[in-house]
Amino acid sequence: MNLNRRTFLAAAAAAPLARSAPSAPVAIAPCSTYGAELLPTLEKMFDRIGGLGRLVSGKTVAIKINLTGAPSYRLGHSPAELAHWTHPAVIGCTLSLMDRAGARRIRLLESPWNTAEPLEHYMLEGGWNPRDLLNAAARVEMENTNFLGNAKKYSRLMVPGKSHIFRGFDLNHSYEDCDVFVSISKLKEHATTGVTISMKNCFGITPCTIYGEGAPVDGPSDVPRGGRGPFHHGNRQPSATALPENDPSSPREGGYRVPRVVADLAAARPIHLSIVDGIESMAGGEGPWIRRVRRISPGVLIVGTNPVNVDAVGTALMGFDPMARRGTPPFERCDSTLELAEAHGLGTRDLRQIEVVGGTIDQLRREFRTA
Amino acid sequence: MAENLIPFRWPEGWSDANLLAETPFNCLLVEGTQSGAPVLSGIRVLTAPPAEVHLLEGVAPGTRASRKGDGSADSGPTGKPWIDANGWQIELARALHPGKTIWVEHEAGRDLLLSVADAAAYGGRWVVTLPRTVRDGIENGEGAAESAWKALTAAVRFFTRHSGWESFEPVASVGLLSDFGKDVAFLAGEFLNLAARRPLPVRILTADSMAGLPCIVHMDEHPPDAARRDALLGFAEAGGLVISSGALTSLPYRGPAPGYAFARVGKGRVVRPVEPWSDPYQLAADVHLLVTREQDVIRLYNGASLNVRYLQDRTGTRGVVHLLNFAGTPGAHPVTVALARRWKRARLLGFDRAESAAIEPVRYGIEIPLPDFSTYLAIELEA
Repeated sequence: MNLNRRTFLAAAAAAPLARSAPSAPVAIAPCSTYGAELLPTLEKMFDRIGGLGRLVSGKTVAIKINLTGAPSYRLGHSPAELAHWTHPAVIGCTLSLMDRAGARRIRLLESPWNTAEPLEHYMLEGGWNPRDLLNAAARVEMENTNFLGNAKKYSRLMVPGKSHIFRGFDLNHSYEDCDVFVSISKLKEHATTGVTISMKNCFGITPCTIYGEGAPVDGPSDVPRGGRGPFHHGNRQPSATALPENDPSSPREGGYRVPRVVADLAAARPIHLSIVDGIESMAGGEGPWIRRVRRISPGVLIVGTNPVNVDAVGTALMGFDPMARRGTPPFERCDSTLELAEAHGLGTRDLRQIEVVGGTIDQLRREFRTA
Repeated sequence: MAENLIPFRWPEGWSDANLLAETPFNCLLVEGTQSGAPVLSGIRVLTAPPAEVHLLEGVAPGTRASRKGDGSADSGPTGKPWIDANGWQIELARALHPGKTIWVEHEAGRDLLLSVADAAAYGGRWVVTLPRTVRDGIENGEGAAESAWKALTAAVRFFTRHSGWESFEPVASVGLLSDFGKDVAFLAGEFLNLAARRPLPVRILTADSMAGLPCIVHMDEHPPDAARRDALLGFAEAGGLVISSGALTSLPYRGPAPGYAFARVGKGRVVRPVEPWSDPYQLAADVHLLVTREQDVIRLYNGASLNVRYLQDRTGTRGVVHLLNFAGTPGAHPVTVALARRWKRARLLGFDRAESAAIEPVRYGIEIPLPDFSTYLAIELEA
């Protein structure tokens, strides 16, 4: 059978629908620093979920990292990677291990705030040296996916089955032109969605040239202007070349909309591997622009192949019940992305159905609200 | 000597000479028909700035008042607030009027100290002009007004004490070479204004001051003459990057780079825009991209409402970073300044503070975490 990439994507996304709420092992491990302990810890974790080789050998791997907010933002004086960005050491170790596991090509992706400048420049502004990452494996590339980028047209990825808000999304080509899609996220609370882990990280795969506040009505802009407010508020539709939302009369409330958009995105662009940086993080929100946030050092890493399972374990490690629904922490003012993704058939959020390997949640839990 | 004059616009109707006691002001500007200005030893009374002064019509510095009516500040396309500042105009005036002292005149804004610092940090002087509330308050002996006057004179005295900084030169990764002719004056000026917001410090150049920079932006009203062309090509030959609005060489220009074509000249490159420049915001962004952030001499964290001016003396042994907070209040998170150069010692100076600063080495260079400040802070540096 000759499967092209688009067919493969659709098949991969549709597959979970055949089995309800699938589950895959989730590895957790204590790790208190980004130093020498990080690489062997990650390596062991990948082995515990079946090894990286079976996932990435001979493949083009696309990795969505989390560089949320402008690079000049800091929580206090802390560099972004110690609070709200995924740490470059976690990214670098992952690149190195994927290289060893035979990955053919690895592409680091992010849609940085309000700019079409190369990702490398964005990292430099944040105080990183992108060469560290470009040299961490044999063939590493970076692309800013907040606009059309290096392609001639956007890729349309559809939500298999019934979608919550959007039937499909027009994305930078990088999210289609890959064999394996990886989310490297930070373990954080989120002002709109309660928590942000591997699935919410992928909210940022959407280009603001189409979905942003400054996107033209008729078609995408050349460069992104503004953030993703329309996803939150529903105050406008995407540029007309993209698919509109299913029901413009549905609630215009961020706590209703954003979790559903995230669940739709996780269905349209399946995540094959989730890596969660919970070594250093922040509590109270997703970035320094949220009031009353503070640094926290959970000292934990999470790895798994099912993003709903991973996010359920991550939610539990933060001291919350992943089965919680709207009105209950951490979802006091929003619907649960976990529940909505589960409804898509992407994975279970029920810890009783998830095999946690490498440690127990009780051992590694760090209460974000009280720590 | 105009450079020693500290100007103060004498409020109409004032007559109490005691107000000037223990203040640094030594030059009173009065209206032609105005009477009542005190005649004191060592204080000049003028109806107009002296010939050695170039007077700029400035703006009251600060974040721009909201057009939305909800009290929030307007934001620019970077998400940073728009600010009104005089610094780039002062730098430009200093370049265009060498040997003259630059005075800036504008009505008092919300923050008198910011008006003082905004001019002084760039080597100019605000003609101190009191708002009516302060004038009346001082006359009536109101405590708040007297405190404001005291703070204002302290700020002026601070810069008088540190007048040596005025001879320091900008530390920059980009130079701007322009004749500032009428067809390019707006673009060149706004380029200076908007590059400062990134922050991408730019030094205004004369043809014989190009050395020591990785990049020159060239925009003249007319095609450059042979000497100017040779100077620019010589800079590129030696390894520099020249970004020029005109075609400087007959060597083939190649792409692709978004909006620009490149020609390799000696060890360096000459770059020209495919379409004429029109948007100064985009020009500043393009130049930053072309010179690359690896050449950044300074970076700023949590400083969206700040402008910085980074200077060092001719020997390179002393430096200063002026930080101007146009919001008038500290942000939610404190500012960190990162410098590519590894200075050995740093001291923080404000109108009412002086303390040593921590220097944290990082791969980029050094970082200096700052305490909260509302209007102005200087980092004094030693190699």
